[in-house]
Amino acid sequence: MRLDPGQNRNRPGERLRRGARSAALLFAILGGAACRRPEISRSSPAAVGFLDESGAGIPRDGGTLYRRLEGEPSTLNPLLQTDDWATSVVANVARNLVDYDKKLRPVGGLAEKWEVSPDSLTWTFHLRADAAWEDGTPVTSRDAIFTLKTAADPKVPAFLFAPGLEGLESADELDARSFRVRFKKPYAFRTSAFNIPLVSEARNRGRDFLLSPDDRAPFSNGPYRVARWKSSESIELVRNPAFKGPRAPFDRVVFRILPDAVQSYRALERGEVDEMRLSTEQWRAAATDARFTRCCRTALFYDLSYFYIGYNNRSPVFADVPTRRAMTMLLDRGRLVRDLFFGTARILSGPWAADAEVYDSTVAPYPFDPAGARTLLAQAGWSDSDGDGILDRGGRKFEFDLLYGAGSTSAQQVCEVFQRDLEKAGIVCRPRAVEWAAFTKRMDAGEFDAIASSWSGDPNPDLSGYWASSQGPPNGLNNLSYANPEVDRLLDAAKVELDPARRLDLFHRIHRLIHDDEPATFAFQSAQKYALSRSIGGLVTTPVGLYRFWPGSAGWWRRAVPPAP
Amino acid sequence: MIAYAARRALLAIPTLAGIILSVFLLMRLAPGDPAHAASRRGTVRISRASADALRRTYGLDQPLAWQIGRWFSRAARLDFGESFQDHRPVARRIAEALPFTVALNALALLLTFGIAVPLGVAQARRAGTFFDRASTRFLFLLYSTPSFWMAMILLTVFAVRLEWLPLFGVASDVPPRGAWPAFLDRAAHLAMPLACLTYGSLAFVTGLVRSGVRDQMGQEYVVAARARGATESQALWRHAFRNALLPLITLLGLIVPAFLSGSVIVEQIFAWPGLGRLYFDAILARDYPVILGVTLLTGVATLAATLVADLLYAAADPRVRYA
Repeated sequence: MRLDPGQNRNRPGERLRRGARSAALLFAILGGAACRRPEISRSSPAAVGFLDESGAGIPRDGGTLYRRLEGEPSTLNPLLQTDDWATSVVANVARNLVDYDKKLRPVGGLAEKWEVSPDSLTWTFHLRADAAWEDGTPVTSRDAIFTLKTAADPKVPAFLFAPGLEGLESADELDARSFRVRFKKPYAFRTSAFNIPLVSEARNRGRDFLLSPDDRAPFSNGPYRVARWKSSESIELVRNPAFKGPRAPFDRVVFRILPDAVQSYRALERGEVDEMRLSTEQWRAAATDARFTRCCRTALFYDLSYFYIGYNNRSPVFADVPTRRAMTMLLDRGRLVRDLFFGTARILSGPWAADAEVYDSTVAPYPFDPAGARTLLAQAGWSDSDGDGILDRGGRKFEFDLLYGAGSTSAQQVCEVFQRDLEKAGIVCRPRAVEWAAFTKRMDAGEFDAIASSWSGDPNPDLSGYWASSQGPPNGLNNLSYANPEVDRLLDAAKVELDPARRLDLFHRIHRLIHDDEPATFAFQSAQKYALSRSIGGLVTTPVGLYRFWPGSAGWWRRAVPPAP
Repeated sequence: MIAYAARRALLAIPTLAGIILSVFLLMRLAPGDPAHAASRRGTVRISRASADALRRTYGLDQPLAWQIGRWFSRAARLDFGESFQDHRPVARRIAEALPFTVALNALALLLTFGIAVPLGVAQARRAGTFFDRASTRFLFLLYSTPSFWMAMILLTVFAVRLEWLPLFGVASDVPPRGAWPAFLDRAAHLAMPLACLTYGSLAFVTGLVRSGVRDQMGQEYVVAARARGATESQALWRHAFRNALLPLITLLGLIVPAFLSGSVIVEQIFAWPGLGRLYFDAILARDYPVILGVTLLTGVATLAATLVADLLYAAADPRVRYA
């Protein structure tokens, strides 16, 4: 499970955005904007759905693709990458052993094929014969073994990959292109552990991996290689001639490091970047911006992330189920979807996104029902015994701080709406923006009453690290201290259940139990909103976004004649 | 003079050590550490075990005294450690960003003085006139305009409406061929960030020049010069002006360090790869070695600039002598 960078931004550019918007607005007034922008009708349905243009048109070779990075990657070392920005770049440079295709099915990456023993403990991989490093030397079993062992080494901070390789027993070379990996325990989602980019053994052997040359210029085995990285400016990729896989259409990919969202939008309109993620406000503004419509289009889809309000299940306020359920019933999610996201969001009932296979759509979300919530609160022992308008129980008033990561406008807006909804029910909620590192610290330590944040799932549905009672703070990532022995048992069972149908059933039971306990308000998913130049062809959107699958943006090309708006 | 300068330079060492120590402690008092900050960047949640491994790698599990002692002992050998983020030497990361910041700010400084000095003198000569009042008000209007707001106005006019200037960056992705076109390309990229860094300090410097000149013009030596038959402009330029510049020397000592780290917002908006951005990002990422490195650099720059200002002052004003 990952945190979604989009919802949790703490960059000055984002903070400046509001100032910038008011500046632009004032200018429009001063400069006498020619006409008033018409309001989009609230009832107009927004088209949210997946696009697949991979087969439409013949890819045209050549040119430069300009992509936007919201911040500078800390490292491009394929194994040490931790941020979304590095992932975007590395995906073009280093292929994974096993990739996901656009339907999120595992497909061969650097590995051509693989076999799994019936007990799921032994995996045998066969590398592609034409897999090569950028200097032309072949990618070998030794590279793969070195990569897996390095990622599993506790001294190496390979945060993205280490968890999947837990219990790695051995990795042995069979021949130059085949190797066998053994694990101590079976794990139903092991395939996701092999969605790992490979690093070269020859280049890294015998040196401190934290000082690897791969940090600045990862040794390529993919369609592109890093030509130049100008710090805080741009990262330039050029075609890797040694790559024998499907040819990527663009000759060059330039990632521009542009923290400021307003600037990026303008750069998009001027053709200086070809894609960017839009905020909901930017998306709304784009709909009536003639210049934008001429050059660009938007793509909206739901990914695996969602927004939630988590309750500290150990806090005296939120320790009981009726109180937590009442909280969810007091949040008017329908109104949020309508007024804050203009229909580009959907309400959830459990700890996965609605497009995740394991999501049980027969579990209905709790309705917005203030009267029902009051009944539940009364059952839980809450009443206004001193007549001050605030509920209390056992001498403790119903008041709490609701923490969210500073810089996230949507979290702030949702928290403020929630605050008002709760106030009507006699509950005092104080939204507090907390700087990111400090927010994570409090979250990890379990030092909070309630938090508002967003989770972005990866294709691996295993939530045992986040909801098992053994994973409570301060040592685990079950920050909410949720504990239900039955859920613990089912999570453990799902991890080793190799039969897909039975596993799905286990997950559906987990979904229902977590929904019953409501350790958090699994509030909603808001659609990812991207703006793209009309000249870009070959676009595919998936539940993991535009890039986290093969070939991602390496399948895009520039159309000779962009389609008219 | 040399002995004085050497003594001041030696005295700077404990001052710098004090600055480093207090920044180090402040930084450690701030909640969250590099492991917490790593998930700020969004992709992964880091388990406690991995976070602890990371802390051990960076020596953050050691006592604070040991950590700061190690920093000082390495710094004494001019080794400022490696960045927690990309593991490159701090000195190299600073060396990459410094030229951009210095170029931008040196030009901003030149431009500020180039505009403020003649304007201040003109105001002093026409004190109380409409020109004086109007230009002073205008400069204060600029002074009170936030730079990000000004940046947006400039961008909207010159980059979006008129399309005369580029939106951001230091040069085009593919710069035009030839030395002159390439120079113009860079100059066009520089224009707006430079304007944003300059306009704010105009009011201040102009005001200083204006009051300096006015003060001096009333002094007896100027009256005496006039009495000896000097024209108004001779009295101004040969006598009053030079003395009116003395406070500017002191100002120079203060303005240089402020510039070094003061352009964070402008660098962010115009995607200018300078020191301000490096510093800001390092703080968010809790990249302690980079924070300390930039702090040391600004500390040295501040102390050096004050020393130079003091020496210049002595050179310019014969009444001041250092021993």
